[in-house]
Amino acid sequence: MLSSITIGQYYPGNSLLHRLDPRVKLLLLLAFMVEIFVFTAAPAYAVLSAMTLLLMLNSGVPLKIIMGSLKPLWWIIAFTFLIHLCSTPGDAFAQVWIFALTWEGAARGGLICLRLVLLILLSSLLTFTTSPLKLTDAMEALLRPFKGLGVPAHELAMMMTIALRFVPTLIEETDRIMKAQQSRGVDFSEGSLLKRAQNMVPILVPLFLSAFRRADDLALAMEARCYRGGEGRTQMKALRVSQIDFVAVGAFLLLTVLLAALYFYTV
Amino acid sequence: MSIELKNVSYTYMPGTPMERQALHDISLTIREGTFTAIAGHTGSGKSTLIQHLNGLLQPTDGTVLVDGVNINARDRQGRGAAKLARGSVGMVFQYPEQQLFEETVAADVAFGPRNQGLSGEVLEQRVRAALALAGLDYEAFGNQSPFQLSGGQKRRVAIAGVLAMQPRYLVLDEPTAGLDPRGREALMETVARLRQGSGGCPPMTIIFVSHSMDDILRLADELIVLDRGRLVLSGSPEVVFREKDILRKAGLEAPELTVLLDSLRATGLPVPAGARNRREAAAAIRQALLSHKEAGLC
Ligand SMILES: Nc1ncnc2c1ncn2[C@@H]1O[C@H](COP(=O)(O)OP(=O)(O)O)[C@@H](O)[C@H]1O
Ligand SMILES: [Mg+2]
Repeated sequence: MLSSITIGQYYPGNSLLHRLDPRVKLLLLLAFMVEIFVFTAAPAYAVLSAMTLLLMLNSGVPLKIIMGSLKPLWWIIAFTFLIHLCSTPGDAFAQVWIFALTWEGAARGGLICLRLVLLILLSSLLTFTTSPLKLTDAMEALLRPFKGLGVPAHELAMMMTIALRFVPTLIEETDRIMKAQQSRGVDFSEGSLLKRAQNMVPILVPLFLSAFRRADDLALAMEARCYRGGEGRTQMKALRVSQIDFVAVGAFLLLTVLLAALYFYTV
Repeated sequence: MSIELKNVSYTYMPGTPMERQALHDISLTIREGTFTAIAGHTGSGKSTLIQHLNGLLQPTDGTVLVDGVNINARDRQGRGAAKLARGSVGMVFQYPEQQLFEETVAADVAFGPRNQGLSGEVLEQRVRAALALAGLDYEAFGNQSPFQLSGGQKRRVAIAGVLAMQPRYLVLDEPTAGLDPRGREALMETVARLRQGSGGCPPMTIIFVSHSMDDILRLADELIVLDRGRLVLSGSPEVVFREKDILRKAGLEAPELTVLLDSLRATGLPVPAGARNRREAAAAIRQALLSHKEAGLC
């Protein structure tokens, strides 16, 4: 049951998106998201959707898996649509209890849901095509200029790398401890709310103990290998901007011009 | 009475890119009163297999019968059967000391039987008996925190916690992993005692995952060998250990003792088969040498 959770959903591959420099990819994603919020006209959205679909196809990740990232959020999307459908004044086509369902509401709701869907799909594309390690490297690189302002770029990135590294381990451990306690007669699926809360104690205590033990071991191992923070530290696989990154940025700028033209033409 | 697996297959995370079939079509019977060992290379599916014995994992295909009752039905009755099976099949996981959580040893050992609905005098009796079986003194350890004990003692507390539920079958997943030689020896003695029945406790059926071929030869009646999720050998250890090729393919070696006696035999010394420990081997070699001498061969 716990094994169905996937965090760090990297899907290995060799597509264009996979080969893009993670810093460039992260910045382009942010810019893309901004454009989704700025160019809110129907033709612009058509282009944005087509672009997203193209990227999804290019990534080499099965569409079914990418679409799966919408699953945990589909009820938020549906709820958003309903709210807009019922609360937008305009030309009503049906009346449900005290709510008037309007054509304007349907259009608005549809557009906002599309925006949500695009945002989710694009950000999961980033995590599907970028290994967590590269992602944290990129974050560290992008935060480095703010070091003067007191942003601990290296420390943040190291913390994230370690956390990501231990998520699967902790999930596995939780699974194991749960099974051990189930073997001792605990039933996690039955009983009152209080009983279920009490049932968490035999899981949480061993889990915390082992997490602390692991943290201790890790700190010791890092110290033994002379880790002393980010000062003067180099990387084995340094990030390097290559030709495809320039091509990607160029393509993106072109897209922006197109979107802007479409937007100002329709507004 | 027995535990029976019929054509059991199990796949981890079906339908995802990480899909992995850990068990392929496994059928076997574990009769009550036997000592069954399970051997195999790391990742061969031993831990996955034993989690089917008390319904912690439900087979993707096939069925598990505990004392004739199917514990895999998805309905209410099936879930009830799985829960009952957890009472009769005790499970000691690898590194079981990591499941301890109570403030005192006695409270931790009482956790299982309390979940079974016991309390008061009966519960205390169970805890005392279980600690004694596991080789710990109630008076000395009962009120201590389990976290202050040594590794070997912690492990005994955890095993006592399972024994306190008075299971008829006891499953142990690599119980001696990470113990020093003396702790290992003492624990194996405890397991052998449990199998015989002691201290007013009836004999237990033992299912035992181990990497130590010598322990298996010494103690087990039945040996099951897994290789990449498939059952490749089963039978009495002496018979199974003769299949050197299949064993090697499965990443295992016959025990030192078997290898030694076999090579003696290869030199022409007629060592009788059937020695299961060092003492028996010594007697067998002595007998072979004596008969050799009588025949005037040396
Ligand atoms: N929780 C899990 N999720 C996914 N795969 C697993 C899980 N547990 C075990 N496996 C896989 O199943 C196979 C059998 O593992 P396991 O039963 O633990 O073997 P053993 O106990 O013999 O070392 C291994 O290949 C392992 O990677
Ligand atoms: Mg194992």
